[in-house]
Amino acid sequence: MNEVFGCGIDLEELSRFDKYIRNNDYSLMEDICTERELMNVDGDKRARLALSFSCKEAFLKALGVSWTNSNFSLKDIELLFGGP
Amino acid sequence: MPEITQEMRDQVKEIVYNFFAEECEVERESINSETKVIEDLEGDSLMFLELLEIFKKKYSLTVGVESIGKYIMKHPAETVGKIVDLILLIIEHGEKISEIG
Repeated sequence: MNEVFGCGIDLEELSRFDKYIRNNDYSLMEDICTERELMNVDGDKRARLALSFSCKEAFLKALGVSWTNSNFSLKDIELLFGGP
Repeated sequence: MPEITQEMRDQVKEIVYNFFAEECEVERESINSETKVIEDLEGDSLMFLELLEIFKKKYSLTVGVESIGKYIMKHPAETVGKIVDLILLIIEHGEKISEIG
């Protein structure tokens, strides 16, 4: 039986990522995403950036930590989208 | 390693205070060094990442977020004043900030 270690929830406003996408500024994305995640960004970049940040924050919350108070980095978590 | 001048301190403080005033929609005058970022301003970690980006661009810093995270783990930056101090340390030490005890 699989064990659930925790549950984490995070919510971000898409508009907070607008200026980065509008200015083709990927600096924030590079802080949040791994190289593999960056290679696979297609479609709505704003939504992907928000989703990536939110998922990683939620994962860390499930563990009861944050990237600002643990040895975890946002890049220690990798999101793989798509089917097998 | 850049020398931190008083002018630089004032500039960093001004940028940090203005950033939180705008992002958190509060009066600039209501913010002081003891203002708590999360409790008083309802700030969050994304704001901190955005603030870092401003200074990484301004001072051409190449420091990784993970190095900063390791420093914050030992020295939590809960107030606006501590955020200003943290930014100055990042400018001064760059990637080596994680090695500061």
